[in-house]
Amino acid sequence: MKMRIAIAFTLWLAVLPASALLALLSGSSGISSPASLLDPAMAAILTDARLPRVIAAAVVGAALSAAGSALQGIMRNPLAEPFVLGVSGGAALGGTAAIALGLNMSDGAPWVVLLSFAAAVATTLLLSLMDRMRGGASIITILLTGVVFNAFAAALITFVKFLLPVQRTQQLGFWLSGSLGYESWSTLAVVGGMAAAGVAALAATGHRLNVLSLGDSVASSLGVEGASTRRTAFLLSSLLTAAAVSLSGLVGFVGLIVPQALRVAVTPDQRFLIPASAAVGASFLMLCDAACRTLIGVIGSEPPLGALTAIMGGPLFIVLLRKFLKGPEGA
Amino acid sequence: MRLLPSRAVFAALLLFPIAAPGETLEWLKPSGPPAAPPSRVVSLAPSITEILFEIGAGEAVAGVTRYDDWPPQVRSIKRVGGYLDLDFETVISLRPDAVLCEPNSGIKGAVERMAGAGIHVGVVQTPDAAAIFEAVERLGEVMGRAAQGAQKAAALRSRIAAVREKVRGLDATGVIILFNAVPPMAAGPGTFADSIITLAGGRNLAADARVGYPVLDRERLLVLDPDVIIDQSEAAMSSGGNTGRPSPAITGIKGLKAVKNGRVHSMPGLYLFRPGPRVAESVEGLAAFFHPEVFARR
Repeated sequence: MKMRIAIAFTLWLAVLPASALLALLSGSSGISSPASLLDPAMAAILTDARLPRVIAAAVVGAALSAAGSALQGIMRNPLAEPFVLGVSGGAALGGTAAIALGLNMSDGAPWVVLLSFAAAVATTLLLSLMDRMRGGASIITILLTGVVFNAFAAALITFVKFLLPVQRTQQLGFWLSGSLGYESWSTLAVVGGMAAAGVAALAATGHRLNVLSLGDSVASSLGVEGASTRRTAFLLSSLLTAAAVSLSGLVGFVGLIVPQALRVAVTPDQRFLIPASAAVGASFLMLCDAACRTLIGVIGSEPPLGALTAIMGGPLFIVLLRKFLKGPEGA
Repeated sequence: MRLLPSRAVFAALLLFPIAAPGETLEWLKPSGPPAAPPSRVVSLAPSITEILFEIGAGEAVAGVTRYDDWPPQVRSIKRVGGYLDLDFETVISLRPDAVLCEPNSGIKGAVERMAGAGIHVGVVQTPDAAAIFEAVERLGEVMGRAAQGAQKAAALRSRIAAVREKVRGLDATGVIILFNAVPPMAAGPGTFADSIITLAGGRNLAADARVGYPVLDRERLLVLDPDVIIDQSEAAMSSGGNTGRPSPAITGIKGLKAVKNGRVHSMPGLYLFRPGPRVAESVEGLAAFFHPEVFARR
């Protein structure tokens, strides 16, 4: 097992820069040779058109996958993912408000990013407060409240969509279905920094999450307090989800499939799983976004990123399952 | 949290009908065409409303969609819903002699039911300028205003012919028309906007897309590098009142030739892509942007 982890670590350290390079080389004008990176004619395309999206894809992929990994751990549920958290509904509501009010069309602040992040933080605080008022019985209550809140948020968004003029409904649709845009360098730096700190902090709880998987009574005899560990992981996952959604809207599938695939293929050890999910998630989304951009050259229009993640990730995951899940029933 | 892939995009595509072969005006069975000029008409498309007012039949318009905004008199006319959510009951309660609509799968069931209930339902197809002028004539006949219809159609045709005459022999200007700025969504092949770009002496650089309204990324815009960008996004329409000011999301892409040369424009009003009688204005306005050397600046 140690060997497998060592190999996996080395692999993902190589995969990350390789994916970034491939993503930078691909675009709607085709896949260029590495030498073209130095071509001055390519400079505008590289720095204005490709780099901001490669960075955004890496941040979003890393944040969602790391959060997914921790959530699958604390909920002991392989179907857990960042978008079951109430924070995603909150972030979606914030972004919807910014688009519905037309704030995104001013040339001032990045309103969609700001409002969706603010709403995500407010939602998390609200959920925590409600939990505290009930005496903080169980993380399950917080999560269930989140699920219901999401359904409520989705309904509210559908209603708002109905009221808006057609062009604005369309912009909202693009954002909600998950898409990467061109944020300024400062926005990318702030959100990226936040995501990096979040992944690092979450990875630091890895050992405690491992112990927790043995059950609360065993954990407490080993000096790990279940409730507070889960709460920390919940808050950090919420922060990461907020960062991701504020940049890209709701890009599905990444946060579910990447940690799951690594758990099946390598190890359920969260100390490994959280940073590895971040790295593989970043690589995966950079490649998906590169595929979207490359497809523009073929069909003349950009397909939605949220759809590509599932189209590319689904079959990959089935193959992994067949290869590694050779239980007693056979694969 | 997952939301359905947007019904909004679907609705918007209905807003921009893609040309399909068919008669300019067809009456649904079994009720067929009205025997006499109707005195109460419900129009289920802003372009049809505009045509009815153009031929002087505005008095007869009893109901319009919530998207209708032209001419100003329509503001006081009863609203009967939108493209996907037709308010059947209100249409019936208006007791129309005729209902006029565009071919639109979203309301197909409803209008067929109306035809079944004895209401005369006319389907008007206007994929390009020529079809619009024909529709002006045909609706003139329907409304008992054949002379006005013929006269208006002739006037509109001659305005287009005048533009065609001026741009004849000039190199076609490379053009992208955007209906959305973030992300940039352009008018693609087979769209109404595509047809009027050609009339105005331009060449639609998004015409090779496989979809009617392609979403472009920055790289695609930089590679196509149009001479002129017409930004008809909502941002461009709302900022600076109705004068139309291109959105910063586009003018911020400094690598574009059109940005450097100050040739990113917006046409005031959203009617550029409405296949109604104001098409003549749209073509004249576009031609002035495409070939400023032969048209006096507006």
